[in-house]
Amino acid sequence: MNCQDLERLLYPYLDGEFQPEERVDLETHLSGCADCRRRAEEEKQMQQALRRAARHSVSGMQAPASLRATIQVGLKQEQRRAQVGVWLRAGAMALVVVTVGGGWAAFHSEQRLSAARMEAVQRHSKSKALPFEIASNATEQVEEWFKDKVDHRITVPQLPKAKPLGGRISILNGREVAYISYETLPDNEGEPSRRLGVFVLPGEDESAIPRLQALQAVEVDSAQGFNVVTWRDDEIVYEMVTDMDEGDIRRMLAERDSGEKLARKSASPESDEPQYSLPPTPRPQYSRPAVSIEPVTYPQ
Amino acid sequence: MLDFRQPNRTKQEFEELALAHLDPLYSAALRLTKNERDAEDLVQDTCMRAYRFFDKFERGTNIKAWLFKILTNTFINRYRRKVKERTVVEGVEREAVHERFVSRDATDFAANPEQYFFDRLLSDDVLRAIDSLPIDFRLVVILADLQEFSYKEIAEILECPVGTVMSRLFRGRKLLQKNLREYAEGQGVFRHEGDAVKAPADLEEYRHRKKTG
Repeated sequence: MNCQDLERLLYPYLDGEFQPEERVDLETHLSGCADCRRRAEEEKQMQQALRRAARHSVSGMQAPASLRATIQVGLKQEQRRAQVGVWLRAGAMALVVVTVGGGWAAFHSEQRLSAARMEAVQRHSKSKALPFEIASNATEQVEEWFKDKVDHRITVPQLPKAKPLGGRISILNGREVAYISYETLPDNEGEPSRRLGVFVLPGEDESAIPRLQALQAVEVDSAQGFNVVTWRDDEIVYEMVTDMDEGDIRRMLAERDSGEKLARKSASPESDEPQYSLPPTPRPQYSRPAVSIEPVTYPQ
Repeated sequence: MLDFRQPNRTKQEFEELALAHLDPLYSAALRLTKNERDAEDLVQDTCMRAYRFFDKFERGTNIKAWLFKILTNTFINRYRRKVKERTVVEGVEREAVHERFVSRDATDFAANPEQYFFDRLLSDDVLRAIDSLPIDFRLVVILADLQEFSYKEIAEILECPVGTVMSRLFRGRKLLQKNLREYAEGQGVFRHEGDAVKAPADLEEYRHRKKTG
């Protein structure tokens, strides 16, 4: 190594980037060259002082506690998304939790409702994987099969553009409930059909059912990528967690709605006109707006 | 089979491995963005992205370098335009600094002004000088001298050749020394002859030369 090389390679040497032979080379030159020794020492002192000051500043630098907390919150949200993503990736497109009558009244606190949703998601994934106990797309047959197996009356919900495939018994909230699987019937050729799962829950006290509400739409917020659609139809409340976008959801509900209108008109002259409107002011909990679309928030 | 516990395990693992480096990430973010609010945002963005890409991280490899790579990428892509300039030292502060460098033991100073000066470098001086570097130099100096990464790690983080790292580090440090000296000179500490212009190092070239004899 000569003096020019040394001068230009001092930093890699001081930074410990040299191979052992290279170090020996350089140090041999140093022992025989006073000028280079002086330069090396100078540079070494400067680097050491710089590092000393730098270490001191870095060691004193702590991330604020609020930052750590904010990140934790963010991670939790991502985790929830991942959890929902797990069952969505498995092919489930939507999950419908159906409560019959007063079952809705039992969920008077948001927390209990969310817990039920979460459990429903988990049960749904398990149920989806299991074979049907009754395989049929005839709703009367399915209803008949469930009649003596669960302790409440089952009406197989009629979902637009979806046909029932079959059902089985599942356990939700500690009770045996009906689980019914559907397959959607896509409009277009080549569009894949998707599976929907429905739980039908027992009502607590049917006499406590509030009077029918007209179907109403509440605001949609799809910030997190998933929507929860809640709507009511007579004494049946539907709740669906889905990655469908708002347009498709409203279309589906509108179709269902116009179908209902026709059925009601022929059945009775006086019926509530289902309408879509902006969210009303907050109501008492047992008479939730019949349709609400809101982002998924599952508790830990 | 669906595993609902997997997201839990991932989050836990991430917290144990990655959040351990929160302090160094924050300190580097502070040097890059030059203000606390943006530094916090930058670190948060970095952690969220890291968590989303966590399945791509090869367990057992250098997670600190991996996190810093995400930090610098995020900074360059999103925050670079927003960097605010630090306020310049004024008035009273300047006097206190002057005191530190000027009131000296005459013999100590006379023997080795350079040494004297560098011994009295405070972290604030260094941080200020680092903050004044152009971003390319600032990045390598932060990674090498504040975070003590190796050249190879820095090359990985910045996604550039080791030769570029060495070149920028050489010039960055020279500029840093110049800034620090000028700062002290401004306080009337000592006069220093300008350095002869040196070419940056090229370790690869030297090694190649040695091999071919």
